[in-house]
Amino acid sequence: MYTKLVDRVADMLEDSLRYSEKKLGKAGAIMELLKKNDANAHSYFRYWLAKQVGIYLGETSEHVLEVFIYPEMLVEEISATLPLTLIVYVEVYTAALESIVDALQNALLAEYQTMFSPSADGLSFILNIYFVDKDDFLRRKGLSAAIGSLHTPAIRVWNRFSD
Amino acid sequence: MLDMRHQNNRRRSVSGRRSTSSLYRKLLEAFDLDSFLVNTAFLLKSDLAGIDAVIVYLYDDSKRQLVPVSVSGYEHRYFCEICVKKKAGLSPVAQAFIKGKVIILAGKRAVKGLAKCITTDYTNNCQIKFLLCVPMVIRGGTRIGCLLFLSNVAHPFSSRSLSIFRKIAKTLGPFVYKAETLRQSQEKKYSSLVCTLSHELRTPLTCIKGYATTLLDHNGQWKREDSYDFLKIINAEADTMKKLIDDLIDSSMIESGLLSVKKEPVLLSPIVIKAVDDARMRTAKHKFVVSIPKDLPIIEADPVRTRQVLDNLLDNALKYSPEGGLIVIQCSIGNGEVTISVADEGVGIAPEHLNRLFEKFYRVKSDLAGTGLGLPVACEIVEKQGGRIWARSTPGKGSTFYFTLPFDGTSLKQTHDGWSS
Repeated sequence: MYTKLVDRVADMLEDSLRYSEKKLGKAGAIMELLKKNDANAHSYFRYWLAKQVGIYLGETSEHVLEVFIYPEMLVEEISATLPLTLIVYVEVYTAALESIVDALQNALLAEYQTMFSPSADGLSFILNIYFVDKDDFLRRKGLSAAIGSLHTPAIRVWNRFSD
Repeated sequence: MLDMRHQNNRRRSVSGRRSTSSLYRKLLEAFDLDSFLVNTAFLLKSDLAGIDAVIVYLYDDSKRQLVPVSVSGYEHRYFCEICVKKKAGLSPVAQAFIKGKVIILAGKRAVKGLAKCITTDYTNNCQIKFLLCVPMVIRGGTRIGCLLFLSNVAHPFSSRSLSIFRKIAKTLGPFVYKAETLRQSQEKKYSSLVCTLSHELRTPLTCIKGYATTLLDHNGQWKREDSYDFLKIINAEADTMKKLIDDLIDSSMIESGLLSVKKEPVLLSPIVIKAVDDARMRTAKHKFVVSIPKDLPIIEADPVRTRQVLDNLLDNALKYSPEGGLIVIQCSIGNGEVTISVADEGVGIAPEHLNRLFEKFYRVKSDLAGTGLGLPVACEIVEKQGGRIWARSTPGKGSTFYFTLPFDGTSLKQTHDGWSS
Protein backbone atom coordinates (compact mmCIF):
# COMPACT_ATOMS: atom_id res chain seq x y z
CA MET A 1 0.00 0.00 0.00
CA TYR A 2 1.01 3.58 -0.30
CA THR A 3 -0.04 6.63 1.66
CA LYS A 4 -2.03 9.40 0.11
CA LEU A 5 -0.67 12.23 2.17
CA VAL A 6 -3.50 14.71 1.65
CA ASP A 7 -6.04 12.25 3.06
CA ARG A 8 -3.74 11.46 5.95
CA VAL A 9 -3.36 15.15 6.81
CA ALA A 10 -7.13 15.60 6.75
CA ASP A 11 -7.40 12.68 9.18
CA MET A 12 -4.73 14.20 11.44
CA LEU A 13 -6.64 17.46 11.66
CA GLU A 14 -9.94 15.72 12.26
CA ASP A 15 -8.31 13.61 14.94
CA SER A 16 -6.82 16.69 16.60
CA LEU A 17 -10.21 18.41 16.65
CA ARG A 18 -11.82 15.38 18.27
CA TYR A 19 -9.00 15.13 20.83
CA SER A 20 -9.29 18.80 21.81
CA GLU A 21 -13.05 18.53 22.04
CA LYS A 22 -12.73 15.57 24.32
CA LYS A 23 -10.14 17.24 26.53
CA LEU A 24 -12.16 20.44 26.85
CA GLY A 25 -15.40 18.59 27.25
CA LYS A 26 -17.15 20.91 24.80
CA ALA A 27 -18.61 18.83 22.03
CA GLY A 28 -19.28 20.69 18.78
CA ALA A 29 -17.76 23.97 19.95
CA ILE A 30 -14.11 23.37 19.18
CA MET A 31 -13.91 25.20 15.85
CA GLU A 32 -15.53 28.25 17.38
CA LEU A 33 -13.04 28.23 20.27
CA LEU A 34 -10.09 27.86 17.91
CA LYS A 35 -11.27 30.72 15.75
CA LYS A 36 -11.57 32.86 18.90
CA ASN A 37 -7.92 31.96 19.64
CA ASP A 38 -8.82 30.20 22.86
CA ALA A 39 -5.44 29.29 24.40
CA ASN A 40 -6.55 25.97 25.86
CA ALA A 41 -8.25 24.82 22.68
CA HIS A 42 -5.18 25.72 20.64
CA SER A 43 -2.82 24.04 23.10
CA TYR A 44 -4.66 20.72 22.88
CA PHE A 45 -5.22 20.99 19.16
CA ARG A 46 -1.62 21.88 18.32
CA TYR A 47 -0.16 19.32 20.69
CA TRP A 48 -2.18 16.51 19.19
CA LEU A 49 -1.52 17.66 15.63
CA ALA A 50 2.23 17.88 16.27
CA LYS A 51 2.10 14.41 17.79
CA GLN A 52 0.26 13.09 14.72
CA VAL A 53 2.82 14.66 12.39
CA GLY A 54 5.64 13.17 14.47
CA ILE A 55 4.08 9.73 14.47
CA TYR A 56 3.52 9.94 10.74
CA LEU A 57 7.15 10.89 10.07
CA GLY A 58 8.40 8.12 12.33
CA GLU A 59 6.16 5.49 10.82
CA THR A 60 6.93 6.54 7.28
CA SER A 61 10.71 6.80 7.27
CA GLU A 62 13.02 4.23 8.80
CA HIS A 63 15.61 6.95 9.24
CA VAL A 64 13.53 8.77 11.85
CA LEU A 65 14.52 7.64 15.34
CA GLU A 66 12.67 10.06 17.63
CA VAL A 67 10.35 13.03 17.32
CA PHE A 68 10.03 15.87 19.86
CA ILE A 69 7.87 18.94 20.19
CA TYR A 70 9.76 22.07 21.02
CA PRO A 71 8.34 23.16 24.39
CA GLU A 72 7.99 26.88 23.74
CA MET A 73 5.10 26.28 21.45
CA LEU A 74 3.02 25.34 24.47
CA VAL A 75 3.66 28.51 26.44
CA GLU A 76 3.76 31.22 23.78
CA GLU A 77 0.76 33.31 22.93
CA ILE A 78 -1.10 30.88 20.77
CA SER A 79 -3.05 31.48 17.61
CA ALA A 80 -3.90 29.47 14.51
CA THR A 81 -1.01 30.95 12.60
CA LEU A 82 1.74 30.05 15.06
CA PRO A 83 3.96 27.40 13.46
CA LEU A 84 4.31 23.96 15.00
CA THR A 85 7.93 23.33 15.92
CA LEU A 86 9.17 19.77 15.83
CA ILE A 87 12.63 18.35 16.41
CA VAL A 88 13.18 15.18 14.44
CA TYR A 89 16.13 13.04 15.45
CA VAL A 90 17.29 11.15 12.38
CA GLU A 91 19.89 8.59 11.49
CA VAL A 92 20.38 10.32 8.15
CA TYR A 93 18.51 13.16 6.50
CA THR A 94 17.41 11.90 3.09
CA ALA A 95 15.95 13.49 -0.03
CA ALA A 96 12.72 11.56 0.54
CA LEU A 97 12.41 12.95 4.09
CA GLU A 98 12.92 16.46 2.80
CA SER A 99 10.25 15.88 0.20
CA ILE A 100 7.80 14.42 2.67
CA VAL A 101 8.17 17.41 5.00
CA ASP A 102 7.63 19.70 2.05
CA ALA A 103 4.51 17.75 1.12
CA LEU A 104 3.24 17.83 4.71
CA GLN A 105 3.81 21.56 4.82
CA ASN A 106 1.81 22.11 1.63
CA ALA A 107 -1.01 19.79 2.63
CA LEU A 108 -1.33 21.29 6.13
CA LEU A 109 -1.20 24.82 4.80
CA ALA A 110 -4.02 24.11 2.36
CA GLU A 111 -6.19 22.64 5.15
CA TYR A 112 -5.30 25.44 7.61
CA GLN A 113 -6.25 28.08 5.11
CA THR A 114 -9.63 26.47 4.70
CA MET A 115 -10.15 25.92 8.44
CA PHE A 116 -8.90 29.24 9.74
CA SER A 117 -9.76 31.65 6.95
CA PRO A 118 -9.32 34.61 6.90
CA SER A 119 -6.63 34.72 9.65
CA ALA A 120 -4.57 31.98 7.95
CA ASP A 121 -5.00 33.33 4.41
CA GLY A 122 -1.52 34.79 4.07
CA LEU A 123 0.19 31.97 5.94
CA SER A 124 3.32 30.72 4.15
CA PHE A 125 4.35 27.95 6.51
CA ILE A 126 2.91 26.12 9.47
CA LEU A 127 5.50 23.43 10.12
CA ASN A 128 8.89 24.26 11.55
CA ILE A 129 10.74 20.99 11.41
CA TYR A 130 14.34 20.75 12.55
CA PHE A 131 16.25 17.63 11.67
CA VAL A 132 19.07 16.72 14.00
CA ASP A 133 21.44 13.82 13.77
CA LYS A 134 23.69 12.12 16.27
CA ASP A 135 26.48 14.54 15.59
CA ASP A 136 24.24 17.56 16.25
CA PHE A 137 22.90 15.94 19.38
CA LEU A 138 26.32 15.16 20.83
CA ARG A 139 27.46 18.72 20.19
CA ARG A 140 24.13 20.07 21.50
CA LYS A 141 23.88 22.11 18.37
CA GLY A 142 20.88 24.46 17.93
CA LEU A 143 17.51 23.04 18.91
CA SER A 144 19.02 19.61 19.58
CA ALA A 145 20.02 21.10 22.95
CA ALA A 146 16.36 20.98 23.92
CA ILE A 147 16.46 17.18 23.80
CA GLY A 148 17.11 16.16 27.41
CA SER A 149 17.39 19.80 28.52
CA LEU A 150 16.57 20.48 32.17
CA HIS A 151 15.40 24.03 31.55
CA THR A 152 13.23 23.60 28.46
CA PRO A 153 12.98 19.91 27.74
CA ALA A 154 11.57 18.95 24.38
CA ILE A 155 8.55 16.67 24.64
CA ARG A 156 9.03 13.29 23.04
CA VAL A 157 6.01 12.33 20.94
CA TRP A 158 7.38 9.31 19.14
CA ASN A 159 10.23 6.88 19.65
CA ARG A 160 11.25 4.08 17.33
CA PHE A 161 12.51 1.90 20.17
CA SER A 162 9.64 2.35 22.61
CA ASP A 163 7.69 -0.74 23.64
CA MET B 1 21.26 21.39 13.08
CA LEU B 2 19.98 20.39 9.74
CA ASP B 3 17.55 23.21 9.16
CA MET B 4 15.53 22.37 6.07
CA ARG B 5 15.99 25.71 4.40
CA HIS B 6 19.71 25.75 4.95
CA GLN B 7 19.86 22.17 3.83
CA ASN B 8 18.10 23.18 0.64
CA ASN B 9 20.73 25.76 -0.07
CA ARG B 10 23.51 23.34 0.65
CA ARG B 11 22.27 20.73 -1.72
CA ARG B 12 23.61 21.13 -5.17
CA SER B 13 21.03 22.13 -7.66
CA VAL B 14 21.26 21.75 -11.39
CA SER B 15 18.74 23.24 -13.69
CA GLY B 16 19.66 21.14 -16.67
CA ARG B 17 21.62 21.48 -19.78
CA ARG B 18 21.67 25.18 -20.33
CA SER B 19 25.15 25.86 -19.09
CA THR B 20 27.72 27.33 -21.40
CA SER B 21 29.92 24.27 -21.18
CA SER B 22 27.17 21.95 -22.31
CA LEU B 23 26.30 24.26 -25.20
CA TYR B 24 29.94 24.27 -26.21
CA ARG B 25 29.95 20.49 -25.97
CA LYS B 26 26.88 20.31 -28.19
CA LEU B 27 28.51 22.57 -30.76
CA LEU B 28 31.56 20.35 -30.77
CA GLU B 29 29.39 17.25 -31.10
CA ALA B 30 27.71 18.72 -34.16
CA PHE B 31 31.09 19.68 -35.54
CA ASP B 32 32.59 17.49 -38.29
CA LEU B 33 36.32 17.50 -37.66
CA ASP B 34 37.27 15.63 -40.84
CA SER B 35 35.59 18.02 -43.25
CA PHE B 36 36.81 20.95 -41.15
CA LEU B 37 40.41 19.83 -41.54
CA VAL B 38 40.00 19.26 -45.29
CA ASN B 39 38.50 22.73 -45.67
CA THR B 40 41.18 24.26 -43.48
CA ALA B 41 44.03 22.86 -45.58
CA PHE B 42 42.28 24.02 -48.73
CA LEU B 43 41.55 27.52 -47.40
CA LEU B 44 45.07 27.98 -46.09
CA LYS B 45 46.50 26.95 -49.44
CA SER B 46 44.18 29.32 -51.30
CA ASP B 47 44.56 32.30 -48.98
CA LEU B 48 48.26 32.24 -48.20
CA ALA B 49 50.18 33.84 -51.05
CA GLY B 50 53.09 31.72 -52.30
CA ILE B 51 51.95 28.54 -50.57
CA ASP B 52 51.31 25.66 -52.98
CA ALA B 53 50.48 22.86 -50.57
CA VAL B 54 49.28 22.50 -46.98
CA ILE B 55 49.36 19.28 -45.02
CA VAL B 56 47.80 18.89 -41.56
CA TYR B 57 49.33 16.23 -39.33
CA LEU B 58 47.77 14.99 -36.08
CA TYR B 59 49.71 13.03 -33.51
CA ASP B 60 48.56 9.48 -32.80
CA ASP B 61 49.74 8.74 -29.30
CA SER B 62 49.14 4.98 -29.49
CA LYS B 63 51.39 4.55 -32.53
CA ARG B 64 53.68 7.48 -31.77
CA GLN B 65 53.18 8.71 -35.31
CA LEU B 66 52.18 11.92 -37.01
CA VAL B 67 49.30 11.09 -39.33
CA PRO B 68 48.55 13.29 -42.36
CA VAL B 69 44.82 13.93 -41.90
CA SER B 70 44.36 16.57 -44.56
CA VAL B 71 46.34 17.44 -47.69
CA SER B 72 45.71 20.24 -50.11
CA GLY B 73 47.86 20.87 -53.17
CA TYR B 74 49.11 17.30 -53.50
CA GLU B 75 47.53 13.92 -53.53
CA HIS B 76 46.89 12.61 -50.05
CA ARG B 77 48.10 9.10 -50.83
CA TYR B 78 51.73 10.20 -51.28
CA PHE B 79 52.02 11.45 -47.72
CA CYS B 80 52.85 8.79 -45.21
CA GLU B 81 52.74 8.56 -41.43
CA ILE B 82 55.83 9.93 -39.76
CA CYS B 83 57.43 8.22 -36.81
CA VAL B 84 58.46 10.61 -34.04
CA LYS B 85 60.88 8.39 -32.14
CA LYS B 86 64.09 10.28 -31.52
CA LYS B 87 66.70 9.05 -33.96
CA ALA B 88 69.02 10.38 -36.61
CA GLY B 89 67.62 11.39 -39.99
CA LEU B 90 64.25 12.49 -38.71
CA SER B 91 61.90 14.24 -41.14
CA PRO B 92 61.51 18.02 -40.63
CA VAL B 93 57.90 17.43 -39.56
CA ALA B 94 59.01 15.09 -36.79
CA GLN B 95 61.78 17.48 -35.77
CA ALA B 96 59.39 20.41 -35.54
CA PHE B 97 57.01 18.27 -33.49
CA ILE B 98 59.65 16.97 -31.08
CA LYS B 99 61.38 20.31 -30.57
CA GLY B 100 58.17 22.35 -30.62
CA LYS B 101 59.88 24.81 -32.97
CA VAL B 102 59.25 26.10 -36.46
CA ILE B 103 61.45 24.52 -39.10
CA ILE B 104 62.21 26.22 -42.41
CA LEU B 105 64.08 24.53 -45.23
CA ALA B 106 64.80 25.97 -48.66
CA GLY B 107 66.29 24.72 -51.93
CA LYS B 108 67.75 21.23 -51.98
CA ARG B 109 67.33 20.87 -48.20
CA ALA B 110 63.61 21.36 -48.67
CA VAL B 111 63.48 18.60 -51.30
CA LYS B 112 65.52 16.33 -49.03
CA GLY B 113 63.28 17.13 -46.09
CA LEU B 114 60.11 16.48 -48.04
CA ALA B 115 61.51 13.17 -49.28
CA LYS B 116 61.29 11.94 -45.70
CA CYS B 117 57.59 12.78 -45.57
CA ILE B 118 56.35 11.25 -48.82
CA THR B 119 56.51 7.93 -50.60
CA THR B 120 59.62 7.36 -52.74
CA ASP B 121 57.84 7.07 -56.07
CA TYR B 122 56.58 10.64 -55.77
CA THR B 123 59.81 12.38 -54.77
CA ASN B 124 61.01 12.95 -58.33
CA ASN B 125 57.79 14.72 -59.36
CA CYS B 126 58.05 17.37 -56.65
CA GLN B 127 59.03 20.88 -57.57
CA ILE B 128 59.43 21.96 -53.95
CA LYS B 129 61.80 24.81 -53.17
CA PHE B 130 60.57 25.81 -49.75
CA LEU B 131 59.29 23.93 -46.73
CA LEU B 132 57.87 25.35 -43.52
CA CYS B 133 56.78 23.18 -40.61
CA VAL B 134 54.89 24.66 -37.63
CA PRO B 135 53.99 22.53 -34.59
CA MET B 136 50.49 22.82 -33.13
CA VAL B 137 50.90 23.32 -29.42
CA ILE B 138 48.15 23.64 -26.84
CA ARG B 139 48.21 25.13 -23.35
CA GLY B 140 50.69 23.39 -21.12
CA GLY B 141 53.07 22.75 -24.00
CA THR B 142 51.38 19.58 -25.24
CA ARG B 143 51.99 19.14 -28.96
CA ILE B 144 49.10 17.69 -30.91
CA GLY B 145 50.33 17.84 -34.50
CA CYS B 146 52.03 19.87 -37.20
CA LEU B 147 51.18 22.06 -40.15
CA LEU B 148 53.40 21.58 -43.18
CA PHE B 149 53.48 24.35 -45.78
CA LEU B 150 55.20 23.77 -49.16
CA SER B 151 56.06 26.23 -51.87
CA ASN B 152 57.47 26.01 -55.39
CA VAL B 153 59.13 29.38 -54.84
CA ALA B 154 62.45 29.58 -53.00
CA HIS B 155 61.44 32.47 -50.70
CA PRO B 156 57.66 32.82 -50.83
CA PHE B 157 57.40 35.32 -47.94
CA SER B 158 59.49 37.47 -45.67
CA SER B 159 60.60 36.31 -42.23
CA ARG B 160 58.16 38.82 -40.70
CA SER B 161 55.24 36.86 -42.14
CA LEU B 162 56.30 33.84 -40.14
CA SER B 163 54.26 35.04 -37.19
CA ILE B 164 51.11 34.54 -39.26
CA PHE B 165 51.87 30.82 -39.57
CA ARG B 166 52.55 30.60 -35.85
CA LYS B 167 49.21 32.28 -35.14
CA ILE B 168 47.40 29.90 -37.47
CA ALA B 169 48.89 26.90 -35.63
CA LYS B 170 48.15 28.50 -32.25
CA THR B 171 44.49 29.10 -33.15
CA LEU B 172 43.94 25.79 -34.82
CA GLY B 173 45.69 23.62 -32.22
CA PRO B 174 43.38 23.91 -29.20
CA PHE B 175 40.23 23.67 -31.28
CA VAL B 176 41.37 20.60 -33.17
CA TYR B 177 42.51 19.05 -29.90
CA LYS B 178 39.13 19.52 -28.23
CA ALA B 179 37.22 18.25 -31.24
CA GLU B 180 39.53 15.25 -31.61
CA THR B 181 39.33 14.40 -27.91
CA LEU B 182 35.56 14.59 -28.02
CA ARG B 183 35.45 12.47 -31.16
CA GLN B 184 37.57 9.82 -29.51
CA SER B 185 35.37 9.82 -26.42
CA GLN B 186 32.26 9.64 -28.62
CA GLU B 187 33.69 6.68 -30.47
CA LYS B 188 34.44 5.00 -27.17
CA LYS B 189 30.97 5.83 -25.91
CA TYR B 190 29.28 4.46 -29.02
CA SER B 191 31.25 1.24 -28.97
CA SER B 192 30.46 0.77 -25.28
CA LEU B 193 26.82 1.59 -26.10
CA VAL B 194 26.66 -1.20 -28.67
CA CYS B 195 28.10 -3.49 -26.04
CA THR B 196 25.57 -2.28 -23.42
CA LEU B 197 22.63 -2.55 -25.80
CA SER B 198 23.55 -6.08 -26.80
CA HIS B 199 23.78 -7.01 -23.14
CA GLU B 200 20.55 -5.23 -22.21
CA LEU B 201 18.66 -6.95 -25.01
CA ARG B 202 20.23 -10.33 -24.51
CA THR B 203 19.47 -10.54 -20.76
CA PRO B 204 15.65 -10.46 -21.07
CA LEU B 205 15.80 -12.43 -24.30
CA THR B 206 17.73 -15.23 -22.59
CA CYS B 207 15.15 -15.25 -19.85
CA ILE B 208 12.23 -15.35 -22.31
CA LYS B 209 13.88 -18.11 -24.30
CA GLY B 210 14.60 -20.09 -21.12
CA TYR B 211 11.06 -19.95 -19.78
CA ALA B 212 9.47 -20.52 -23.20
CA THR B 213 11.65 -23.61 -23.70
CA THR B 214 10.75 -24.82 -20.21
CA LEU B 215 7.06 -24.37 -20.96
CA LEU B 216 7.41 -26.40 -24.14
CA ASP B 217 9.19 -29.21 -22.31
CA HIS B 218 7.15 -32.20 -21.17
CA ASN B 219 4.78 -31.47 -24.07
CA GLY B 220 3.49 -28.46 -22.19
CA GLN B 221 2.19 -30.63 -19.32
CA TRP B 222 2.84 -28.10 -16.56
CA LYS B 223 0.68 -27.28 -13.61
CA ARG B 224 -1.57 -24.31 -14.33
CA GLU B 225 0.05 -22.20 -11.54
CA ASP B 226 3.57 -22.96 -12.78
CA SER B 227 2.65 -22.08 -16.35
CA TYR B 228 1.10 -18.85 -15.11
CA ASP B 229 4.25 -17.91 -13.17
CA PHE B 230 6.45 -18.63 -16.20
CA LEU B 231 4.20 -16.58 -18.46
CA LYS B 232 4.26 -13.72 -15.98
CA ILE B 233 8.07 -13.68 -16.12
CA ILE B 234 8.05 -13.84 -19.93
CA ASN B 235 5.61 -10.97 -19.99
CA ALA B 236 7.72 -8.84 -17.62
CA GLU B 237 10.91 -9.51 -19.59
CA ALA B 238 9.15 -8.69 -22.86
CA ASP B 239 8.09 -5.38 -21.25
CA THR B 240 11.71 -4.66 -20.37
CA MET B 241 12.74 -5.25 -23.97
CA LYS B 242 9.89 -3.13 -25.25
CA LYS B 243 10.90 -0.25 -22.99
CA LEU B 244 14.46 -0.44 -24.19
CA ILE B 245 13.41 -0.43 -27.83
CA ASP B 246 10.93 2.42 -27.17
CA ASP B 247 13.75 4.46 -25.62
CA LEU B 248 15.92 3.82 -28.65
CA ILE B 249 13.14 4.84 -31.03
CA ASP B 250 12.42 7.98 -28.99
CA SER B 251 16.09 8.79 -28.93
CA SER B 252 16.36 8.57 -32.70
CA MET B 253 13.15 10.61 -33.01
CA ILE B 254 14.73 13.32 -30.86
CA GLU B 255 17.80 13.20 -33.09
CA SER B 256 15.68 13.72 -36.20
CA GLY B 257 13.40 16.27 -34.51
CA LEU B 258 10.34 14.05 -34.93
CA LEU B 259 9.44 13.50 -31.28
CA SER B 260 6.07 15.11 -30.85
CA VAL B 261 3.71 15.67 -27.95
CA LYS B 262 -0.06 15.78 -28.27
CA LYS B 263 -1.39 18.18 -25.70
CA GLU B 264 -4.90 17.82 -24.37
CA PRO B 265 -6.67 18.77 -21.13
CA VAL B 266 -5.30 16.42 -18.51
CA LEU B 267 -5.83 15.86 -14.80
CA LEU B 268 -2.52 14.68 -13.42
CA SER B 269 -3.79 12.86 -10.29
CA PRO B 270 -4.96 9.65 -12.02
CA ILE B 271 -1.78 9.55 -14.12
CA VAL B 272 0.42 9.88 -11.05
CA ILE B 273 -1.58 7.35 -9.04
CA LYS B 274 -1.54 4.80 -11.88
CA ALA B 275 2.21 5.25 -12.35
CA VAL B 276 2.80 4.71 -8.62
CA ASP B 277 0.47 1.69 -8.58
CA ASP B 278 2.45 0.12 -11.41
CA ALA B 279 5.78 0.93 -9.75
CA ARG B 280 4.51 -0.66 -6.56
CA MET B 281 3.96 -3.91 -8.42
CA ARG B 282 7.65 -4.03 -9.29
CA THR B 283 8.98 -3.85 -5.74
CA ALA B 284 8.35 -5.25 -2.30
CA LYS B 285 11.14 -3.33 -0.59
CA HIS B 286 9.96 0.24 -1.13
CA LYS B 287 7.38 2.35 0.62
CA PHE B 288 5.55 5.00 -1.42
CA VAL B 289 4.04 8.28 -0.31
CA VAL B 290 1.95 10.28 -2.76
CA SER B 291 1.03 13.88 -2.17
CA ILE B 292 -1.35 15.50 -4.63
CA PRO B 293 -3.18 18.70 -3.67
CA LYS B 294 -6.94 18.53 -3.88
CA ASP B 295 -7.06 21.61 -6.05
CA LEU B 296 -4.64 20.37 -8.69
CA PRO B 297 -5.81 22.01 -11.90
CA ILE B 298 -6.43 20.45 -15.28
CA ILE B 299 -3.47 21.28 -17.47
CA GLU B 300 -2.66 21.05 -21.15
CA ALA B 301 -0.26 18.13 -21.51
CA ASP B 302 0.36 14.88 -23.33
CA PRO B 303 -0.93 12.20 -20.91
CA VAL B 304 0.99 9.31 -22.49
CA ARG B 305 4.29 11.15 -22.64
CA THR B 306 3.86 12.61 -19.15
CA ARG B 307 3.27 9.11 -17.84
CA GLN B 308 6.43 8.04 -19.66
CA VAL B 309 8.42 10.71 -17.80
CA LEU B 310 6.95 9.63 -14.47
CA ASP B 311 7.66 5.96 -15.18
CA ASN B 312 11.22 6.81 -15.99
CA LEU B 313 11.76 8.78 -12.78
CA LEU B 314 10.09 6.05 -10.71
CA ASP B 315 12.20 3.37 -12.41
CA ASN B 316 15.34 5.31 -11.57
CA ALA B 317 14.23 5.77 -7.97
CA LEU B 318 13.73 2.01 -7.66
CA LYS B 319 16.95 1.16 -9.47
CA TYR B 320 19.15 3.49 -7.46
CA SER B 321 17.74 2.51 -4.07
CA PRO B 322 18.27 -1.25 -4.29
CA GLU B 323 18.05 -1.64 -0.52
CA GLY B 324 14.52 -0.24 -0.55
CA GLY B 325 13.35 2.79 1.39
CA LEU B 326 10.92 5.59 0.96
CA ILE B 327 9.90 7.09 -2.38
CA VAL B 328 7.91 10.32 -2.22
CA ILE B 329 5.94 11.56 -5.20
CA GLN B 330 4.75 15.09 -4.78
CA CYS B 331 2.73 17.47 -6.94
CA SER B 332 2.56 21.16 -6.18
CA ILE B 333 1.19 24.25 -7.85
CA GLY B 334 2.86 27.62 -8.13
CA ASN B 335 4.16 30.27 -10.52
CA GLY B 336 1.94 29.14 -13.37
CA GLU B 337 3.18 25.59 -13.37
CA VAL B 338 2.60 22.25 -11.74
CA THR B 339 5.74 20.70 -10.28
CA ILE B 340 6.03 16.97 -9.90
CA SER B 341 8.87 15.53 -7.88
CA VAL B 342 10.11 12.03 -7.17
CA ALA B 343 12.42 11.70 -4.16
CA ASP B 344 14.18 8.58 -2.95
CA GLU B 345 16.56 7.42 -0.25
CA GLY B 346 18.98 5.80 -2.65
CA VAL B 347 22.67 6.07 -3.34
CA GLY B 348 22.46 9.66 -4.57
CA ILE B 349 24.43 11.30 -7.34
CA ALA B 350 27.82 12.95 -7.04
CA PRO B 351 27.94 16.62 -8.08
CA GLU B 352 30.17 15.91 -11.07
CA HIS B 353 27.47 13.69 -12.56
CA LEU B 354 24.52 15.97 -11.85
CA ASN B 355 24.92 18.32 -14.78
CA ARG B 356 25.42 15.48 -17.24
CA LEU B 357 22.40 13.37 -16.29
CA PHE B 358 20.34 14.53 -19.23
CA GLU B 359 23.00 13.86 -21.83
CA LYS B 360 22.34 10.98 -24.18
CA PHE B 361 24.02 7.70 -23.22
CA TYR B 362 25.47 9.22 -20.05
CA ARG B 363 25.34 6.73 -17.21
CA VAL B 364 26.24 7.36 -13.60
CA LYS B 365 26.72 3.70 -12.76
CA SER B 366 27.68 1.42 -15.61
CA ASP B 367 27.12 -1.74 -13.54
CA LEU B 368 23.38 -1.12 -13.32
CA ALA B 369 20.98 -1.96 -16.13
CA GLY B 370 20.14 0.90 -18.46
CA THR B 371 21.16 2.64 -21.64
CA GLY B 372 21.46 6.24 -20.54
CA LEU B 373 18.52 7.17 -22.76
CA GLY B 374 15.67 7.42 -20.24
CA LEU B 375 16.48 10.84 -18.78
CA PRO B 376 17.39 12.52 -22.09
CA VAL B 377 14.08 11.31 -23.53
CA ALA B 378 12.24 12.51 -20.40
CA CYS B 379 13.97 15.87 -20.71
CA GLU B 380 12.95 16.25 -24.34
CA ILE B 381 9.32 15.35 -23.54
CA VAL B 382 9.14 17.84 -20.68
CA GLU B 383 10.76 20.64 -22.66
CA LYS B 384 8.50 19.97 -25.65
CA GLN B 385 5.55 20.61 -23.32
CA GLY B 386 7.05 23.89 -22.17
CA GLY B 387 8.29 22.55 -18.84
CA ARG B 388 11.63 22.10 -17.10
CA ILE B 389 13.37 19.13 -15.56
CA TRP B 390 16.19 19.04 -13.01
CA ALA B 391 17.67 17.04 -10.19
CA ARG B 392 19.08 17.61 -6.71
CA SER B 393 21.10 15.07 -4.88
CA THR B 394 23.55 14.35 -2.13
CA PRO B 395 25.57 11.16 -2.33
CA GLY B 396 24.37 8.65 0.24
CA LYS B 397 21.20 10.62 1.00
CA GLY B 398 19.13 10.07 -2.11
CA SER B 399 18.00 12.17 -5.03
CA THR B 400 15.01 14.25 -5.99
CA PHE B 401 13.99 14.70 -9.61
CA TYR B 402 11.62 17.50 -10.49
CA PHE B 403 9.75 18.38 -13.62
CA THR B 404 7.25 21.09 -14.33
CA LEU B 405 4.34 21.44 -16.71
CA PRO B 406 2.89 24.86 -17.37
CA PHE B 407 -0.70 25.89 -16.87
CA ASP B 408 -2.22 29.26 -17.62
CA GLY B 409 -3.87 29.71 -14.22
CA THR B 410 -7.35 29.86 -15.69
CA SER B 411 -7.61 26.11 -16.07
CA LEU B 412 -10.43 24.19 -14.50
CA LYS B 413 -9.86 23.21 -10.91
CA GLN B 414 -10.95 19.99 -9.37
CA THR B 415 -12.93 20.62 -6.21
CA HIS B 416 -14.64 18.42 -3.69
CA ASP B 417 -17.97 19.12 -5.31
CA GLY B 418 -16.95 18.69 -8.89
CA TRP B 419 -15.31 21.04 -11.38
CA SER B 420 -15.16 24.77 -11.19
CA SER B 421 -13.36 27.52 -12.98
